[in-house]
Amino acid sequence: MMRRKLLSLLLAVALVVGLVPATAAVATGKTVSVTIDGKKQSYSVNPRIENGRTLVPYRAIAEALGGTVSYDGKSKKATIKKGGQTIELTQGSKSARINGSAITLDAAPLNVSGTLLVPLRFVGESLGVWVTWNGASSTAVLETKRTFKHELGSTTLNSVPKRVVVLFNGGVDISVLLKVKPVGAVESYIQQPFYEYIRSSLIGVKTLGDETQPNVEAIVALKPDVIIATKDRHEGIYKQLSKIAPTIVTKDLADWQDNLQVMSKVFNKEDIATAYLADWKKQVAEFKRKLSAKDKGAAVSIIRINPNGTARAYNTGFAYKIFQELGFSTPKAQRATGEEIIPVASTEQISLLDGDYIFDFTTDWDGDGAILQHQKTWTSSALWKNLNAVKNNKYYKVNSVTWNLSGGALAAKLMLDDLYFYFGLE
Amino acid sequence: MIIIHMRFGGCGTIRYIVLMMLVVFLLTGCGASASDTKTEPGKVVADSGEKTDGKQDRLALIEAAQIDDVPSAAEELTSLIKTFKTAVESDDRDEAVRQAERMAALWKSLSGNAGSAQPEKVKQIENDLGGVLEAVAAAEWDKTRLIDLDYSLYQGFRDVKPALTN
Repeated sequence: MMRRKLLSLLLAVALVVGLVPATAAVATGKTVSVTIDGKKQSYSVNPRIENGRTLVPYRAIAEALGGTVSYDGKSKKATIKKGGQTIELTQGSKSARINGSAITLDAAPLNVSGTLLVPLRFVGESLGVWVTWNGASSTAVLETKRTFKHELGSTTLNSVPKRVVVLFNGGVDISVLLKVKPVGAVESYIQQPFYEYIRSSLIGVKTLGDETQPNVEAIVALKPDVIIATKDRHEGIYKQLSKIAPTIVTKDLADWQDNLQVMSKVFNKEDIATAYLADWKKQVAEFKRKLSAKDKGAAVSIIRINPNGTARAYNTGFAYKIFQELGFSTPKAQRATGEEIIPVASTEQISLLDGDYIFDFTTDWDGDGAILQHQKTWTSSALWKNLNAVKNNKYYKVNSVTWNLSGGALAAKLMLDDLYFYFGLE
Repeated sequence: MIIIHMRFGGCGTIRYIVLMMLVVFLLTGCGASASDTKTEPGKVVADSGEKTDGKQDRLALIEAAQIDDVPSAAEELTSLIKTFKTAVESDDRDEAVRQAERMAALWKSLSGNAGSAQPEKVKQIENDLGGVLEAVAAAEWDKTRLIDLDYSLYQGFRDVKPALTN
């Protein structure tokens, strides 16, 4: 009886041990599917994951999308033509060419039983289709068109746009992050043509005037595939823009996270946006963790001095949203006004500018120092010196570009980094 | 020299003796400062009474710090830029001066690695550091200016840091 029990136990252990590698093999050899516009594709050689990269049969996909493929066995070079575009790639080489311009693939094309497998990302880059990866079903999802429902309508794109026009500064910042160089973009409010922190990535980009009044004729001349606009600025010219090119309108100039998500979907760069936003969330959590107890929930006043010498406090906008996300509060007196932008006409109302901290992003718009003189008048007054933040040495003049004028994703991280300086965090 | 000449009027011999003595005094003086008073890295020579004309001069007088490796020195500088602000806000003059001098010394060791990449940023950092050294040594502190300069330094160094550490 005892011997039988022992035998059963050994058999059970052997079975479990034997199953483990088999299960692992199934996991790594999981079937990878491809869909094009929702239709599942079948191939003689199945797509696969090699070293963490999803590789898919390029010829079959290119042909399914209307391309023609030729292959030179001697040089192992494939040439694909689709919609006026020529793509050249070589088996075993990470270097490829799209219309003569060199690009580097994530992994070299692989020959499996005469079928060339290429990294999934390259399919999107070269064939103008949107590509996303559904991890749950191990499916590469290819879309030949996308429809964007937005604040002012619905816009359909029939391929990933290449000639992009961006009409707001936050969008220009985001295009730099997404590595999409626009053919045209609005110029910056100061530091023209483009803000210094992104300028080097925008060499050769045509400027299209101010974001509040873009140069429509210049946009027409660029023959864009898509125009990225924003409701706050471009509602009045949306119809005009839509006649020039498909126009996608974001809902809030200052909502950089939403703008990033929208633009990444347009540009087929969702992977970059997802990684960036994940890192942002991590950084926000880290900041909140590091912030001292006395500063948690501190009332932050965001202000500027206006060109006419008055002042205002912001309970809205780019910097405000970031402070809210970081867990700071709004000064009670400001909140009580119920206004998003609180006008402060004279020093009699100066207490409206107060908080535990005051961050001032006054901008020297004309570069003549006149507004800075107004700022000096405010900050020299006896009433100013009586504000709590000022008495506690917590009034700071901050970078107006990265805290206000840009409103982009890269600016957001720069602003967050500035807060490490202001709150003395390591 | 003109003063000596006027003081001793027409007495040429005395005048030349005094001149010779002065030359000898100056030469021995210079020799001593070159060989005996070796400055500590990061110390401002101007503290010993030498007159400076501006912020650039103050930075020029700082000796480069000896650093073990560039990334660690870059981290130390970032950290100092932040703690300098705290020192200014808490009116800790000695600490602020010490930190300003250390920041300048570290930068002088690091700047060679950053110079070619972003010359405008390097210039800005040096202006800011010169300004910090000048403002921190002032008898009456302008705290707003010190913090503004430190903030500008923080942003400028943030921009060049990747070129140093990657």
